[in-house]
Order: sequence, then C-alpha cells, then structure tokens
Amino acid sequence: MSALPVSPRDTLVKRALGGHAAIGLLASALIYIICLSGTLVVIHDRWQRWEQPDVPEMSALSPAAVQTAIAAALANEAGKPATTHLYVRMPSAELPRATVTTDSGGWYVDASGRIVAREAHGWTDFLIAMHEYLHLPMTWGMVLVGALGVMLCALLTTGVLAHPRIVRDAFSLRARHDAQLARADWHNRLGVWTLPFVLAVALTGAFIGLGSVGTTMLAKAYTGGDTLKVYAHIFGHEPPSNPARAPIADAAAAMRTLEARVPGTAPTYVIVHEPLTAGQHVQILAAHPRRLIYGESYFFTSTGAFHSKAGLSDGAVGKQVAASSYNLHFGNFAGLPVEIAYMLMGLALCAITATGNTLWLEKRRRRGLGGARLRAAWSMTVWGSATLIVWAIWLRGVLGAEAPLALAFWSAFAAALVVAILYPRVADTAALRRVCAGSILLTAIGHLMLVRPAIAEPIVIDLVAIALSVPLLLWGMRARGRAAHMTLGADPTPA
Amino acid sequence: MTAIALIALVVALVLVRIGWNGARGLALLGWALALGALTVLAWQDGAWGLSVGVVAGMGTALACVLHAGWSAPAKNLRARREPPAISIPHHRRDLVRRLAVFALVVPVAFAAAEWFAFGVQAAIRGGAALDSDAVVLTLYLQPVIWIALLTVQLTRARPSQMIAAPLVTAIAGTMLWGAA
Repeated sequence: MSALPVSPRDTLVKRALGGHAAIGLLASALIYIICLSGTLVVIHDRWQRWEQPDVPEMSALSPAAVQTAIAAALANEAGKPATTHLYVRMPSAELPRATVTTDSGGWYVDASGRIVAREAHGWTDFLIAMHEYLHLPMTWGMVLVGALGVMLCALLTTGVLAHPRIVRDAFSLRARHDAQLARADWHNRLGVWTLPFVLAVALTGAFIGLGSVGTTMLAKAYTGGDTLKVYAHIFGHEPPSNPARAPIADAAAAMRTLEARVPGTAPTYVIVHEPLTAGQHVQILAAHPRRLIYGESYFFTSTGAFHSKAGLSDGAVGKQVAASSYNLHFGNFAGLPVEIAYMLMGLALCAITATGNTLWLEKRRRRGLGGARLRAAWSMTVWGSATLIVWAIWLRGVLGAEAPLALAFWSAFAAALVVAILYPRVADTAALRRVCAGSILLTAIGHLMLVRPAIAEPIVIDLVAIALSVPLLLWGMRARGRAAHMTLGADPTPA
Repeated sequence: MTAIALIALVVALVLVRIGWNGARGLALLGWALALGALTVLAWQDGAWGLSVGVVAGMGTALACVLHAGWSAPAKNLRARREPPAISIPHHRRDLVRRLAVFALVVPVAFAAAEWFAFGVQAAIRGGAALDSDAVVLTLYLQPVIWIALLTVQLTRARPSQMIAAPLVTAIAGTMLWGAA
C-alpha cells in the first residue's frame, strides 16, 4: 500500500517548524538573556533610584543651575585630559534628578547645580550593558545582539508558518492539561498575541545593533571612511573643531533662547561639545510630547545664539523614523502604563523562549532520546541566569559600584552550566526556581531593611518584588510536593 | 478622543474574544472596530497613537488568553509523542550539513542583504548626494531583507536549495547599484 500523499502545506509547516527549532536551539540561550535583561531595563531610570535612593531630587533645573553644574564639572576635570563632551541630564518624571557627565564620570547635582554625589548605579549599568552588547567589546557586541534580533524576527515568521491552527486556537489555553500540552499552548498563545511587540522591539533592536555595519559600508563608499559624516545626515552636522582655549559656553543663554523660540519644550539633555575650546557649541535635546521620537536636537553657538536644529521632529521621513526607533524599542513613549505593559510582554517573551526549548527537550525525553544534561543546562540558563542577576545586587552592595559584576556574572554562569552538565540532578528545575524566587524575596526585604529608602518608588519596587516572588516560591514548593508522588514516566521539566 | 479610541480598542478585542466562541459576526465586528480605533489613533497622534493603541490591544488580548487559561478545565489529556522537529547531529555528514546551513543563513545571507540594501539606496538616489533618507533606508532595509532570506532559506529541504535566495538577492543588489 502506498503512503498517503503529503500536501505542500504540510511540508511547509514541517519545514518551518524545523527551521524554527534550528534557530531556537542555536540562539535561544543568548536571546533569553537579552530578553530578561531587556525586561528589567525598561525601567532603568527607576532602578537607578532603587539602587541609589539617597540623592537630592527635583522636578526642574533652572538655566542658572545648569550653568553652575557645567562649571562645577569642568572644575572637577582639572588635571585630567580635556573632556570631549559634557552632558547635563535634566530631571524628568521617570528620574527626577539631574546629573552632569564628562568623559571621566558622572555626578548628581542639587537644585542649585552643586555637585553632591557620584553616580554609583553599577548594577543598573551592568544590566544595560548586558542587554545592549552582552558585555562584549561594544561595537561587536551590539552587532551580535542586533543579529540575534534578526534571529528573533525569523523565529516569529517561521513560528507563524509552522502554526496552521493559528486562528482556530487563538484563545485556547489548556493550562491544566498535561504539562507538555499546556507548555505548547503557553508558547503559541503568548507568541501570537505579543507578535507586534516582539516584531517592534526585535526589528528596532536589529536596526540599532547592526547600524554600524551599514554605516561603515556607506562611509567607505561615500565619505572616505568617516562614519560620523554618515550619522550627521540623520543627527545633525557638527561645526569644525578649534582647540584654542576659550571661556565656558553659555548654556544658560542657550536654554533661554530655546524657551523663547519654542515655548513649552522640555529639555532632556543640555550638551556642551568640546567645552572650553573655541570650537565648542551647545546642543539641547528637547522632548516632544505624544511623539515616538526621543526628541529634537537644537544647536546653539557658545554664546547661546540659535544656530539650527537637526529636524528629527519635522524633517525628512528618514530622520523621524530613526529618531522614533529608540523609544519604540525602550517602551518609554507613554509613561508608566506602557513601561509596565512592555515589562509584562518582555516576561511573556522570556516564557516563550523558555517553553520553546523545553518543548523540544521534552519531545526527546518522551521518545527515549535522553537529554538529561541538555535539560539541566537549559534549566540552569533560564533560572540560573536570573538568580545570578539578583546575586549581582549583593555583590554590588558589598564591593561598591565599581564591583566587577560582568566578570562575576559570566564566570559564575559558565561554572554553573558546567556543573549542570556534569551533575544534572543539581539543576532540578523546581529547585532552581525556588532559589531564584527566594533570592528575589530576600533581596527585596534586605533592600528595605538595610538601605531604608526614603522615597516611595524604590519601596514600591521592593513590595512588587516580594509580591511576585512569594507565588513563585509557593509554585516551586507545590511542584516539590507533586514530585514526591511522581511516577517514573512523569514530566521532570515543569518549566 | 485618544481615550475613547483606546476604550473602543479594548471593547473590540473583547468582541473578538466573544466571537471566537462561534459568533463570527461579533468577531468581524470586533476586528472592524479595532481597525477603526487604530485609524483614529494614527490620524490624531501619528505613530505614537498607533503604538499606544497596539499596546492596549495586545494587553487586552493577553488578558483574554490568561482568563481562558484560568477557567480552563483540568483534564488528563496527554500530548502525543511527536518526534522533535530537529535532531542532534551524531554523524560527521550531519554536522557538515548543519555548518553549511549556518554559513548560508548567517554570513552569506547577511552579506547578500547588506549588498541589496546598498544597491537599493544607490538606485533611489541616482547620482544625488547622500541624505538621511538614503542612510536610514540602507540601515533599516538590511535586517528586513535578512529576515526574509532566513524565512525562505529555512523552509527549504536541503542546503543546496538555500543558495538561490541570497544569490538572487546579491545579483539584484549588483544590478541596482549598476543602474544607479
């Protein structure tokens, strides 16, 4: 008897699933870490307040205070190599603080512009660097992360092609069935309904990460290799340098000029390029409400006279698209509600990634193909990486903001993976989940008791962390209770 | 008006959910309402409005899915013992095949997409000077083309069939650059 013919659609579905699995298995560990760190850094400004709560806060900084802060920062630079740029970050709703940053570091200033404390949010910076370039050399790391963004988009497209019942199953979530069925439903339902979000963040992440490659190509073809000239077409051209000594640029005058010229704008950054030189100039980045763009750049002379603007708000379409990519990626275009939505969808993406690999591992186990070491390594990746991110907070607390968190994290992660592969029983999923939940709980309680933040937002973050960790801990304990009565054929990977 | 459009979007997704149970007319009404609400948001607030609307829509849909999971009955239905979609290579030829696939879909496809994007911007500009639109087109088109190539290549049966897509793309990029 001849075999039943296989329709072209079934073949496409099977091949798409194979391609989907191939990308997932190759790239999922790094994609997971990027998603997890990305979920956390959506609120990176709020983590800064959590990590360093005892810093003066204000809702606005006057032009005179900005000028004082610039002078104070430049005085601080005495004896060091001349800084090429000086940034004053203005207070905002997400971060009601002001900072001044030079090539040698950043400092918080008070409402009068006086330097009061050094920026010391090493753990927040560690998380951002992990997400943006996996702590690799920045350019190469960003290219790798951008490429992984492309892989994530390809997972979306092949996933949709491999899902012929996508409409029929749109709202079906068999959460209380066999673990493998439930896992497949979680993976598919979360994947389908977060599709616009994942496409937006993965594509914009790819644009941002891979941009240096395209820019280099254009620079080699058209600008003699000068990539700054290529970027200038989007972000504005800088006037020629002149290293002769000159008095401090009048940023306060520039701010007053901007307010007179474009009333109601909210400056987010005041930047002095090549300060104390004859070639210095002032740039003010100002937010535009109800826009995706991160802001418009206004350029001023050293005396504060208006020169030009970059056109990010109303210029060529290319400029507006480029300027919109950042906020669309970061989720900071509509305040806390959208930030919370982005974090929840980021967690969903972590769950999609985690369940995807687990589905494949469980299929192998059920067919008698083994894979205990692979399962252990994957459990360690999912729960171990999250736990190590939490433990990094304690390391930062003990050793200070300069603690080598990146080195510690990746060393510990590599060691944990080796241990999991050599001794799979150590990497029991339920146990790792309990350790992770317990770590979050202890860290939140520890932060409340030891740091004693006097402002509300860090306290709210701690309370939310406690509220989320308790059910996670109980879930793990419930799984342990079931495991005690487990039969031989039951699913050992309840992730 | 923005708030009304957002509320309409939430209602629309709830209608889609109710209609999914069988009342197809309700589902169609829901999708039509969602489209209308997104159009209003885009008209009023451009890309920002559209983005806020899509976030609200996704949130509503996910809430419906979570409710479905919460209210799903407990059953003892066991998943079929399906074979995994791909296997771990054990033989040298399997490993060589996997490496060939990796080379074709990562560096080869990446380069083909980059070259095509470069050719597109050259053709669109003609002899005109580089400008922001050309730069952004190059940078943004490359990942999109690479994703398309990945999707096509990974749905081919054999590595030899994965060569055509990047080859055609690279040739098209060369022709566009030559025509510029």
